[in-house]
Amino acid sequence: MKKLVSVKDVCFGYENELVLKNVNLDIYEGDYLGIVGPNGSGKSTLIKIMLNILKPSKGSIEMFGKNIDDFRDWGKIGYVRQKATSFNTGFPATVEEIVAANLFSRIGIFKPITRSHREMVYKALEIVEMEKFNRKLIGNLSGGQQQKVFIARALVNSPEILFLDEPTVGIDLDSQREFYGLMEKLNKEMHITIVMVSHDIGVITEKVNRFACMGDSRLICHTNNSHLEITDILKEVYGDKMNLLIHRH
Amino acid sequence: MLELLQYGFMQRALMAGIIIGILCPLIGIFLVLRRMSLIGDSLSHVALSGVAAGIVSGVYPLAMALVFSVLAALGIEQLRKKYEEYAELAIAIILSAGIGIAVVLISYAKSINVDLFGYLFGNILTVRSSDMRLITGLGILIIMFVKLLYKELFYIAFDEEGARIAGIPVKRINLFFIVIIAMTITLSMRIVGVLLVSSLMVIPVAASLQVAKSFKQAALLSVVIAELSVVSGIIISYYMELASGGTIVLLSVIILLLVIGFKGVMQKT
Ligand SMILES: Nc1ncnc2c1ncn2[C@@H]1O[C@H](COP(=O)(O)OP(=O)(O)OP(=O)(O)O)[C@@H](O)[C@H]1O
Ligand SMILES: [Mg+2]
Repeated sequence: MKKLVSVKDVCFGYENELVLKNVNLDIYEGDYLGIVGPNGSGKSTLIKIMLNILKPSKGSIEMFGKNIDDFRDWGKIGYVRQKATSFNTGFPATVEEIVAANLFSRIGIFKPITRSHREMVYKALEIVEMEKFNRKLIGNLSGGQQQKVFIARALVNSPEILFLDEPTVGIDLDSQREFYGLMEKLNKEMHITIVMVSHDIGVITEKVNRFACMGDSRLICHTNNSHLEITDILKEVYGDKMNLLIHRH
Repeated sequence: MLELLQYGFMQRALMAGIIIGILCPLIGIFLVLRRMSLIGDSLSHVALSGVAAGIVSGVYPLAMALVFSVLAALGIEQLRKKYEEYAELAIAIILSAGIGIAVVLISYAKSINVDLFGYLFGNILTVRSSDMRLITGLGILIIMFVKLLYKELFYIAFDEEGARIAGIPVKRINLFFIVIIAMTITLSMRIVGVLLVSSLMVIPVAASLQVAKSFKQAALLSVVIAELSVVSGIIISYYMELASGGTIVLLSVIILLLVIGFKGVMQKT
């Protein structure tokens, strides 16, 4: 199996206190990795470090076998950040314009958008069933619809790996079910590797094939999602109230 | 009306006006959407100190203003990167320094006959052919570059972090963009004056944002509104002997109010 991302002994702190302590994580081709953990445990920070938005104070990141600073093939990566929908809602951009933006580095600087690019945009919107909204202003959509648009933007390049930071927040239950169905399709049929941060622990443990839990700045990773083991880990991180949560599904 | 065009200065003023009428809103839309409007103001004050330095030292003032404002732009970009939380403070400091240097130099040069009023508020009668060459040459070059980088500038304005991950060279484009702001301000100085340049960058954009249905539309519409204000402003200011910058900006404010009023009426019905 090909290793797509490798986090090696990474330490990071925003000011003095370390948010990540010697984190190690390998992500392989075809993985559907769920990352859970309490608020403030460093999940978003870890994603940002993998994407070179933040620099680790110690350790290194490899992306597709290259040191992250030498990695140039950003079209292979899709990212929907946490609270993607908290942008300036007065921004005068249509759904189409937003999704097309992720094609820009493929189109190249100084070059215009062509018809084949428009078709790619349309296809990405079709995947999330938002193609009918392509001419709408992004600020005039509901939060869940906006979230779908950002997922389409992340998909438009046909990425090999998709990073999603709490993608189902603010999405109704039906759409959430649809969303998880879509993720399974992307992972199983289109062979896209998925890294998803989420608080839906019940759903996550059911869907993913790999599972990671952050707590106390450390990361505990497991390849299989054998139920008992996960429950033990979650108990350690969240405390005893975890039992209730995990038995809900 | 046509007889106006017989005057050389009028031809120059209109030509220059048309170019800055494209430039200002085209740059302004990114300034507004990135909430960087204050940068325009502070760079224009630095440009004024460049003009003063040019007059005192006997160097062509617009060239000096260009050098000053581009250097200040690079300074702001450095400060913006280093002290992200205090970026506004850095901009305010540069603004104050700019106006301070300008005032000191101008008072030092008070024996020289300076058309200060023209630089502050714009004066179409003073557009010389050397200014004209600079404005058309550099102006057209900037318009072309911005058009070529439009999609990248759009992405950065909407989502800087996303743009970086999508592989857009955000740092280089930001640097390029701030230098272009400085150049636009210098070029616009003759027509609208330093005190009003940033208004011409912001007000037509504010009007077009009220009604635009896409980013492309917002950009095109803001240029149309700016051109309307600039061309009619130049003509009116000639006949009524008014400061051109003030007239242009007032016209754009009137258009803005009309658009807001129109939108209000449409929403009620
Ligand atoms: N920009 C920042 N500056 C300073 N500290 C930060 C910053 N962003 C996050 N932190 C701190 O780093 C820690 C980890 O934050 P992070 O956003 O990675 O948590 P998370 O696991 O994603 O939480 P959540 O589930 O709430 O999204 C938190 O204690 C937070 O207060
Ligand atoms: Mg988070």
